[in-house]
Amino acid sequence: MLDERKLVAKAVAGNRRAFERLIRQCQDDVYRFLFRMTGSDYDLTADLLQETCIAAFEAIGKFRGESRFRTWLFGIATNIYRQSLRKKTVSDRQHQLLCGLRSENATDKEVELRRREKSVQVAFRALAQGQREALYLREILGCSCAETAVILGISESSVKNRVYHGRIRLRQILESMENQGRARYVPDGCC
Amino acid sequence: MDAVEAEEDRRWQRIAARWRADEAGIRAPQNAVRRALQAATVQCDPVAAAATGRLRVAAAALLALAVAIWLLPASAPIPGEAAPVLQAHPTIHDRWLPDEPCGRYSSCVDAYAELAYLEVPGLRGS
Repeated sequence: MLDERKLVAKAVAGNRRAFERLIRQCQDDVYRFLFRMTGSDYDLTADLLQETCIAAFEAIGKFRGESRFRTWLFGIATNIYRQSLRKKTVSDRQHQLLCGLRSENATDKEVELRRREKSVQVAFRALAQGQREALYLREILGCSCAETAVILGISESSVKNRVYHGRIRLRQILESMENQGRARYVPDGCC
Repeated sequence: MDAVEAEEDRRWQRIAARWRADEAGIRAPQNAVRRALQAATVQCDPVAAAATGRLRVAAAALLALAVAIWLLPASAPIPGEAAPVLQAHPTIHDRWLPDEPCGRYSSCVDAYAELAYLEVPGLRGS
């Protein structure tokens, strides 16, 4: 099996099969990241994954190999996700999911998703965007601190800070949910 | 790390472990990945796009040819063989045609046109 550097060299030279193999090596992690960042929205995640692949393919010729391909691809996915936030695509949908859609407006998929939603996911969505990104990459996907910093375009100390405060905030929200015996947590200012 | 921080860390690790186990069940759907890769490699690559275009044109041409073959009547005359045309007219036998088409049957007119085109020797006249 070809190692990543050889695959990257081939992909940079325009080999589409090499590019596809590189994408497939990280597809699950990138999908999980986008899935959680979009508030577990299947359709939006698929759209963002596609945009990520297109952007990566367009830019692969300029990839200098200074970081791992995975780190580079996560950086692109993060930018794509943030662009969609600016377009309000994600934030509007997240807001709907957080506040609970009225049943007549919810699709079957969303109703089923909410029914099966783990409390930790509900709490996770209530975190600030920066905390969510850092916490998920660092603690759930197991990226190193340096790698997370490159992906998010921030310093390592900022990563540590966001992860630290994200952890505390998440635990507080979970405790709040348990204490109140609620199925859902509705953050301040929501609805 | 003091006792409070250590306890905080232990509690977090329990949450994270459960969470990671849940996340392992999330896989990128194959159709979504395939579609994404296809979009990337076809939309961004003019050669691939052109190849896809050429394939579509070839497929359309093949389809048109198949339809044409299907529509072609089984009794259509084959160049050099006048017999099926002659048989179409009820008053014309295999070996003879009048000097002028009778005008009563379209097949008669067609037969003349066909014979004039083919210039089949020995079929005309008494």
